[in-house]
Amino acid sequence: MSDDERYLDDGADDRELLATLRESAEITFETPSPGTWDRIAAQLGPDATSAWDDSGPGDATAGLDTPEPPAPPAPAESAPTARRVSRRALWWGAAGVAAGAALTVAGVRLAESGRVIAETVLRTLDTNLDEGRAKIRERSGTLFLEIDLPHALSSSDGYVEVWLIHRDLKELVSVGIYTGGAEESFPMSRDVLNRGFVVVDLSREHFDGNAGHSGDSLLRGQLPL
Amino acid sequence: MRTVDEVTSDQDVAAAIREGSHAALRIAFERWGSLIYTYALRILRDPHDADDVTQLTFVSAWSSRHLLRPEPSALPGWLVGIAKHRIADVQRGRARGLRTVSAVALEPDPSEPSIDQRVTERVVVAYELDRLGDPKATIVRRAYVEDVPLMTIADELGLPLNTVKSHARRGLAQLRERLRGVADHE
Repeated sequence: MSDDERYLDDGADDRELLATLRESAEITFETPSPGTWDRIAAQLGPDATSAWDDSGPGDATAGLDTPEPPAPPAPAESAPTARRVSRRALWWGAAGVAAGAALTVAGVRLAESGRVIAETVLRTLDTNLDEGRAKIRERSGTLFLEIDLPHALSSSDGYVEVWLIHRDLKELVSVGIYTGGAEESFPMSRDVLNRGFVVVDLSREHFDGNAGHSGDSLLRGQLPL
Repeated sequence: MRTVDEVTSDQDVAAAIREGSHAALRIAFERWGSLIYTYALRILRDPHDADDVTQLTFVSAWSSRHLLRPEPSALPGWLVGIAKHRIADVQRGRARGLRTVSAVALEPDPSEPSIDQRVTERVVVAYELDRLGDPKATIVRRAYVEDVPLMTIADELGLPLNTVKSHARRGLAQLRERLRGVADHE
């Protein structure tokens, strides 16, 4: 077998990586003693992101002995969340005004193509390669999540699903099935975005009757909303 | 079904730690607590010290979270870098203790304890190899540790050769990235 087929770079880097790999074969991992997390948690300052965690820092320490319950269906109604949403609501209002102003200038063509109000690069999780863009486009008052991938994704033994993960990373919603095009568009609820589901994720899924995320994320990017 | 915690990328966890989230630090502890503990244990050879180092590492990480770079592989490398300092602290403490007990007062201060970078890399690579998950981890192990041809691996696993190749390529790229993360935090 040639080196090309083994995906090795020519340099010493990979010879070293392989040597390290071989030497590391004998290592077995052990876990810190129970209670280590509790001791860590006891020394942390205040939690700055209470939207993560409705009941405050205490909740984070509870999990070692009691498994955490599944994520609640909606983000916290705590004050910080409410503040964030209202800030974003203001932002959306401004975007609407801007869109209206642009329309009067550019006319019908713009009304057809709509206006991109947020955009992010989609990158591979493992190698951080720029593989395309995700955009939120507003067209005649309706929002669309648009996935632009110059090199179409495919999944030979399954399908590719599009998700929006909450910025607190605890909840996610399924957006739809990506069917392999260079540009695919999904109608989007303004409320879902306003609630903080802004991390676009494409995952490889199998026909296994499991409606949840497979955990095999291919691309991801966070919308600046 | 997986929880969102499990599908959260390392980069997202890093970003949330920077924002000051306890829950994100907790996820980091679940992902790398065992790496840090085992790393400390292999050098210090004492479970109690390894526990202390693990605890101190995550507490230090929290208090210096503003220094964490929001890059995909930054988090484990950063934690290992912090752990290295905490391990060195323990070694210094031991050296001092030894000096007091045996009263080797004439000797100069022990030089800065040095931790073999190879040991660090080995532990990190072994850990990240496990984290690749199967079949990727098995493919990388068979191909690069045991030198089995990719074609044979494809037969063994009943997978198309192209799938095996792609797992091998991506797996190796991930390990390379992780090691870079550790080197960056030297």
